[in-house]
Amino acid sequence: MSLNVLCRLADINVKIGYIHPSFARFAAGYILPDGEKADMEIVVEEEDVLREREGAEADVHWPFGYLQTLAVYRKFCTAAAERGVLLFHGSAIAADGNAFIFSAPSGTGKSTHAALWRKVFGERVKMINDDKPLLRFFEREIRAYGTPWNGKHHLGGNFSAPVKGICFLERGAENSIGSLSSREGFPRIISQCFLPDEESAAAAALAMAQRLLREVPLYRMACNISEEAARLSYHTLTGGMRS
Amino acid sequence: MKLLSGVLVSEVDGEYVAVTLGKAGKKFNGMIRMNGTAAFLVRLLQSEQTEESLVAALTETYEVSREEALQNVRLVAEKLRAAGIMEE
Repeated sequence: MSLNVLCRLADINVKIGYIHPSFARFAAGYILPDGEKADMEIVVEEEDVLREREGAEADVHWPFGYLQTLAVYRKFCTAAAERGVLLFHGSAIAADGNAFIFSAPSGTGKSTHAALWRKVFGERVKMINDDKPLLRFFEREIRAYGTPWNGKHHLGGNFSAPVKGICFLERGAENSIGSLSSREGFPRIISQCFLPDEESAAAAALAMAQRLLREVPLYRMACNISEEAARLSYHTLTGGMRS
Repeated sequence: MKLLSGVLVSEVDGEYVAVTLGKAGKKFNGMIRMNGTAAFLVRLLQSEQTEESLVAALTETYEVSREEALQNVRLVAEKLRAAGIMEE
């Protein structure tokens, strides 16, 4: 039996057809009431879900419901690319109404760094999405959106903010931060974007990546796990606002 | 020779990156950074080419000798083959 639900993702109403009932619980908080109009529709079939297993580590048994969430996200991001939606891998956090994204290879500590912001700056910062935020490209701004796909600790909320900085983290004994040119940032940005398999959607995603490079300030930071590291990135990214 | 379909080249400020999608992406997971000349050849290789046709295109577009062009073509072709994204 096929099920469906109407969700609002990145300000797009999408009707999602799915198989395993767990999706409705997963997407709670993003589901629209009956009677709202859909802007687009996607349907995930069993074969789409099974295909997700091929890309996953073979020795781990991933539950069907989890693989289904991956299949839904893949389908949505592919179909929504032409509407200016890009999945960017990173931890997106809002500070005083602006969004900043920390990006790093898995295990480097981007979630830890974002958690330090929350610890040091409290109510002033709010997690948008700790793992896979959606970016939406409008004529005048690029916004980061919370989504149900928000990492293993499920940190995030259903809200959005304009993206004002992206910071690539690496581990360091000392804390230091500097700007990255768009040329230097290019391979880093590309490697964190979800590129759909379909060529036209992938070309749209690459064009969005180019806009990120042109319009958003990029930083590279070496950091340890400390409140001092959080203060340094906060002051640099927010442009030196006083804490 | 020809690239597998699903190789896209993108450029920012003279930095070129080729990414692989679909079938090509399964063979080579990631991206290839390259200079302008290599990106020029990669774009041509999205349709069928011979060593000769690539050399001709290079010498017409860039100020290079036939020999330099041939060297370049072979180097790039070798790298793309090693990445597993050329049709055999």
